[in-house]
Order: sequence, then C-alpha cells, then structure tokens
Amino acid sequence: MALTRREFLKRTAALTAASLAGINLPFNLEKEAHAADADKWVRGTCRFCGVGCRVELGLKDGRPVAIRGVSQSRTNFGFLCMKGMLFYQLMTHPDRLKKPLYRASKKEKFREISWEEALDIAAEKFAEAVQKYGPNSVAYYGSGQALTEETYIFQKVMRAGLRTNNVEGNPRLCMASAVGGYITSFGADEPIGSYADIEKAYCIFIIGSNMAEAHPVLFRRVMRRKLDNPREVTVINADPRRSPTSRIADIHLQFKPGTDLALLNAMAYVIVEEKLYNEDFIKNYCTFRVGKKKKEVNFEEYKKFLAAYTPERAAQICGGNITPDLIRKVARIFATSPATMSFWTMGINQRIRGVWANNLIHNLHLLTGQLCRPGADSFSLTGQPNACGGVREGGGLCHILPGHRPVKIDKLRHQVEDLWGVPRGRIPAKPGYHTVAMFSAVNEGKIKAIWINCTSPAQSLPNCDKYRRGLAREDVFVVVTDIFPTRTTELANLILPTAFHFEKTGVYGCTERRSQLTLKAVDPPGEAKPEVWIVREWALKLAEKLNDPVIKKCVEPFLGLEEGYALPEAIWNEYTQKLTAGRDNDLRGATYDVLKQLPDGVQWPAPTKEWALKGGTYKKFVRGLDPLADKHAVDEKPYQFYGPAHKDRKLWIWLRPYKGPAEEPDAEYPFYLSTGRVIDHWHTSSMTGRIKELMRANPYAYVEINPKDAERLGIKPGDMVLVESRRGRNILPAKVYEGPMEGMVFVYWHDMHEDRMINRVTKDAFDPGSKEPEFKICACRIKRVSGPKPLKPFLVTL
Amino acid sequence: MRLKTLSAAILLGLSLVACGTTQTATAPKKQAVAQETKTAVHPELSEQEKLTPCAQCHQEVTPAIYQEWYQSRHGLDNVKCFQCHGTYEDFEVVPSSSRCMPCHAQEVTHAPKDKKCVACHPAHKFSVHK
Repeated sequence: MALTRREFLKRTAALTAASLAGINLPFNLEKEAHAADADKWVRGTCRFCGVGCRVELGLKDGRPVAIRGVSQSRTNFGFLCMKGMLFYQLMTHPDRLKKPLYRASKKEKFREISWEEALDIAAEKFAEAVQKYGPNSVAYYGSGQALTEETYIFQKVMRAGLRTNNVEGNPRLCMASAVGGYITSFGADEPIGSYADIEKAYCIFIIGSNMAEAHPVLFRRVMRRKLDNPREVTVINADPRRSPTSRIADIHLQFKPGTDLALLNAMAYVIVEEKLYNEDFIKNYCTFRVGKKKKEVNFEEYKKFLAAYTPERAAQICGGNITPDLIRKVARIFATSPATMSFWTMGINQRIRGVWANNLIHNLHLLTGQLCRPGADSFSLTGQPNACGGVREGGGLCHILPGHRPVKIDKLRHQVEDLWGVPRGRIPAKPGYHTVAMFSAVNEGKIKAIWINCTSPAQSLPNCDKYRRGLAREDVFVVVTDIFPTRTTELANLILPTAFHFEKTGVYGCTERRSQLTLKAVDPPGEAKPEVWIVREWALKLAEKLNDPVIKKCVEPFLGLEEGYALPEAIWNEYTQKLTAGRDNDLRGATYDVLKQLPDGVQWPAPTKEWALKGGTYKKFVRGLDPLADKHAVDEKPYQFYGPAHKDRKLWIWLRPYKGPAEEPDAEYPFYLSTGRVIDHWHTSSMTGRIKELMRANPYAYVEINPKDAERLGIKPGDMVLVESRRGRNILPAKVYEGPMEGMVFVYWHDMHEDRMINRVTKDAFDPGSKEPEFKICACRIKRVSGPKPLKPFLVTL
Repeated sequence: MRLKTLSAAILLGLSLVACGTTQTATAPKKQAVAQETKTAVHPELSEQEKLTPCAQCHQEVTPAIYQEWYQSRHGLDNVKCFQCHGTYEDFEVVPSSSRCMPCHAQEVTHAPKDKKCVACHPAHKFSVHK
C-alpha cells in the first residue's frame, strides 16, 4: 500500500472538493469492446475451478471481447464469477509465450528456436535418459487443467511408449485424498450425486471448504437454497477460519486445525448413542471395517471404538467454540434432516490423514442413510476444472490407468495394453513416483528429464524451496509447456508455448462426473501449439531416436489429423470408445457430436448415445437412474453398489481414530499456519495476475491474523509481518480480522513474489494413503517487522 | 474541522453519484448537493493507488452503498464492484445493461431496450424489481 488510509482519504477530500463544480472521471477511459459488441459466440467451459460453468466466448471481428454464462446449463444457469467473465483477456495478452525457447544450461539466457529443433531436443534428452539410466529416469508432471485428450495422450506415450508409470499431476496435491476416501468408503471414485441435490437438501454441511471463494458459482446455489428457505434449510460451516462461506451459515463450528477427525467421530457417537442411525440402510448396504487389512468388524465393535469420542472429550480436543452441546446439536440436525448434503475441499484433503477425514464424513452419511436420495449426498468439491475428467478418469496419476484402472492389477493393465495394441508387459506393473516422491527423485538426481505441463510446481509444491533446488540442477533436463512465464519456467531448459482455452478443442470433466466440450474459437498467438500436436510430434521423434516402433504405435491412430478439432476428437474417441467401455465411467455415449448438442455436457455413466443425450446419470448406483445399476443388479434392492473396488458390493463404515497434524505449534513456533485461495485469483496467479481487474482487487498475498493475537503482538492492519517456519519465511502485509481463530494465521497462496510465496513456508508431510501433502497445517511464528510499506504486485516475466 | 466538513461533502457527492440520478435522496440537504454535482467525481489515482480494491475505500466513503451491496445477494456471493462498473480503463458510474450480460445474458436480451437494468432493479440491492 503506497498510502495510508488516512492519507488517501485526505487526498480524496481535497481533490473532490475541487471537483464539485463538475469534472469528469479522471481516468483515461478506453473504448473497450464489451458483450454487446460481440458478433459471434462460441460455447465452452470455464477455464478455472472445478464447478464446470458453461460459458460462451464472444468474438468481434474474430477477436475475443467478452464471456457470458450459458443460462440453459445445469451447472451455473448462466452465472459466472469474475475469473470466468474476464479470462478472454488472456488470449491477447502481450506476455503470452509465442515461440519455443531453449537454453542448454539453466545459467544461460533463453534463445528462440524452431519447433523442429525444440521437439528434437526434447526427444533427444528423454531418449538419452532412458538409454543411459532406464525408463524411470524420465517423468511427466501434468495438471487438472489440461484437457482430457492431453492428459490421455501424454500418459499413453509415457507408459506404453517410454515404459514408465512416472505420470503424475497437481491433482495429487488437491484431490488424491478424496479419491482415496471414495474408493475405500464406496468402492468407486467420484461423487454419487450431483449439484442438483443442492436444491433438494435441507441440511448443508460444509467442512474444510471456503466454497464462497473457491467455488463461487456453486456457492451461489447453496446461498439461494438457504435464502429462499431460511427456516427449512440449515447450513453448518465447520472451519477453523471464518470465511465468506460462513456468512450464510446458521452454525459455525470453529475448532483447532487438524482436530476435525475427533469432531466427526463425536458426531457419529451422538448418532449412535441417540439411535439416530438408519438401521435398514446399514443392514442392507454397509459393513464396518478397520485397519490396513480392511478387517470386517460388527456394529458393536464400532460402538466400542466410538466410546473414545464422547462429545465431552471431542470438545476438549477441538477447542475453539466447540462444546459437547454444539456437537450434539449438529449431529442431530445432520441425522434427522429430510436430506443432508456435505461439501468439502482442501481443508479435508490436504492433510496427513486426508483419506481418513474423507472416510469420517462418508461414515456420517452411511450411518444415517443420507445418500442416494434426492438432496442427500457426500460430495467432494474438486478444485480444478479437469482433475476429475482428465486426471482421475483419464489415467493421470502414477497408480491409475485410464478408466479408473489401478496399474498394479495385471488383468486391467493387460486390458489397456491390448486396447492400445502394444505388447503385454509394455506398461510396468509397478506404480511410478507420486508427486512428492517424484520431486524428491529430481532432487536426488534420479530423474534426468521431466516434462511439466500446465502447472507450476516450483510455486505450488509445499516446502517449495527444497524442490526448486532439485529442478535447478544442471543434470536435470526440464521441459515446461505453458502459456505464460511462471516460477517453473524460470527453472526450465526448454519452454514450449501452448494454445490456451478456446484456442484448441477438448473436454473438461467437472466435479459432478460431467464432461463438457470446449471448441476452438481463435488461433493461438505466434507459434503456440496445442499440446496434443506437441506430444504426437515428440513421440514420433522419440520412436526414431530410440528405434522403437511401439512408441510410434502409440500415436499412429492420430497421424496426419488436423490439430484444432480432428486430432483431439480422434483421441477422445479412442479414450471413450475403447478405454471407458464397460468401466464405471463409461463415456461411450458422449461423443463430440453429442456433447455439441447439449448445453451442459454429459454425466457418466453414459454408455449409449441415447442415454447421453438425456444428460447422462444424475445419481449413481440407483436403479432406474443409473443404467449400470440396472445392468449390474444382483438383487431387488433399489441401490446397487457395483463400484470396482468393493467386491462385497457394500459401503464401508470405517473405524478411523483421531490423529492430529504432522506439525503442531510449540513454544518455538506457536501458531498454526494455514493457506488458501481468494476469489480473484487462480492457483499461482500466472493467469489471473495478468487480468487488471483481478490484480487490482487482490494485488498481494496477506497474512490474516486474529485481532486478539494482533493486539498482543502489536500488529496493526497493513503492518509488515514475518511468517516463519522451520522451512522458510515470508514477509507479508497483515490483515487483522475475525477470520482465523486465535492462535492461527492464514495466508493466500497465489502470490509469486519471493517474499510472499507461502509455499516456501508450508510443510511437505503427506498422507501415507493418498500421498497428498498437508498444505493446510504447519507450525509457524510471526513477528511485526515494520509499518505498512508500498508493495508492487509481482509476476515472473521472461 | 475544515477537512471533516469537506470529507462529509465528498461522501455525499460520491454516494449520490454512485447511486445514479434516479434514486431519491431523503434529506433536503442531500438533494441540494445532488443538484450541484451532476457530474461524476472521483479523485485522480496513481497506478499504485489503483491497486486498492474499490470496496476498501468505499466502505468508508460511501458506507450506505457498501452496506446495501454487502447485504445483497451480490455481496453474499462476492460479486465485486468492478464486475458491474468496470475498472479504471472502462469505468461506468451507472453500468450499461451490457455489463450485466456475463451473468444475466438472457434477462438483458429480454429486457426493454430503452432502459438500463438499474432502472427497474435497484442498484446495489438488486431486489427483483423496484
């Protein structure tokens, strides 16, 4: 802040006094084109969060000028947030990467090279690593923002071509615990229900999610549901920090970070103690499980387990405003409401016991039968627009192949090899490195060449300095495909400029199992190319250099196809028609032609075009609503849990004990540090930081401090504050308000300035099951270092 | 004292302008000021000052408008000032209807062409109709 508030108001006064006679606005107003000027609208999906808002890009004389929502869409009904309505500006932004850039050494400056040379270098380096150090010395690190076609072709070339399962992506950092939770509780990944349940829910339980900022357009639906039915609908928000989401809550549960496992078990205790459970649902559909061996136990043993989580004991563990009575009250509302829907995001997933926390939410739904009915669902919100569709379904993590197939299951792996027409044994049986292990392997020099696509791990990994050191090694060849310079392109040898959203064609699959097509509307700038073209051409060169026809075989079906539409369509067809056939995410009905006919795409399972044209499946596992529930029915029961991971076709209620975070505050580091998003920015802000409206609305990261802590430490709003952990430090301006609870600070993670990049401070401990890091909790200390200072927003440039 | 008086005048000036001319001011004094200030007024800002979210100053400078917005559905759902009014390069005191189109495209298309949206939907409250 350049001026103090007082100075600013003083100047406002002086200037306006002089202006009272009537001076026009003192800004240079440009004649910018707006929605009304557009002469053509092209349909697609928003580029940002996991909600999957349908949008139309407005063009005037072929140039992007506006974005508007699609009112017929069942995701957003036409509404957009500020990111969604403004991202058209990125297409013509002067910072766009337009030419391949290369440097042999990371100490050198980049020089522009041709695509021919760039692809040759990329192929040479990967081939050399494979030949000298074996297939596991190369890796791909992708993104929940890449199109499904892109993730699919990348992982195909890596696995069947280069013979490595070192295929990972940033969804490991956000949704892996939710995957683990769904698979271990329900036997199948991804939510059972849909957004449409919001309008039928009476209790909405939001835990570990600031959906008002992270999923604003879906939050609008929750808000409307509450405001339209203020007495009938109860919103419960459970979060150590009061956030904009809390504004619509009837009850806010504020507990010490990491104690929610005790809270959730205590809610289950009340449900059991007061006999609020649904006996028929449990008897018909559930079993109880415990431990690594997934041992089956009975209800009595579960009751014994819960005895350790009386509301009294849980209230002691949780602290904050949690009392035994409050726990009893919310458990009763949860259990007895006509329909309860839970939402959660990173507060639950980014934890060393993220899978357990997911299981404990599911437990509440299973005990009470708050599932499979309209308005009743246990619904994980996905962070990214294509983490579900591209990465979870498309095979973008080291342990899963396309179509929800675990790598280690021989039968399923061989299925994939057969479908691809490559020799059996071509895909290794062992999963590759998960994300933290992958970047640790980079640090150790075990990975010699890594391709990072559409994401910036140099900023987004926890404890990022540690991993930036590895990426900076001269013996690690780093390729980055992106549209703008980032903290990661700073560590690259080769930067390949890619086409942005609407500059290429492809599918995003959002949170509610919904696949939606975005059509190419404009050409990419300069020499930027769609990733599908880049991978195809790279694979051909790899095949030559390694003299391996199987690599060529991976891209053979796609040779010669035009890259703007025909190529991605052919890849989508191979993936859906071959790889999803007979799987739970069957998408055979969702062809490009079908997707183009619908305003809002298709929810899987959608095995036929007829079913897909109806929009697909609103609720999984329910006979009459889900064609696979009818197909796989083994009895007359209305719900058929055919998920591939539970052979007993049951839902599992887990005995998961309370476990705190990896790092608790102590005398030396007495505060909890948590991090999260603000509404105006997306991830590492390489895109949103380049939209002037968004940058002005939130130009820097702040550290939020509770007023009581601020007073104790003599910190005033705007003061510069040191936030330091055992790993690193930031100096950020303070925002003092009743957001984080006492003893906790909260920092936004989008800022890429070295002083304000909070992942230099966070901890890289991870969940042993999901391998997802605990971004949300670590210990830190804070100290005022000075009064307010003028700060400049910061973006990495070339 | 002088500064205080001036500030009060500006507060009124800004709030009335931002409310648009269709809003009826209740206090006679306010009406008098409104008649004197037919043109929009806003202090000149440096690039650095433009890095201040609108609401940060307007919370103090135009508190009534801020509160109306904050309590509205737009406020609850974090629809911010710039989404309707634009930013410094394309600012509109009373947004033209096309500014509503990103979220309300269908409604704008069906609405009477001779009126701005705010003629019927009160600015900052956004109740369904006046």
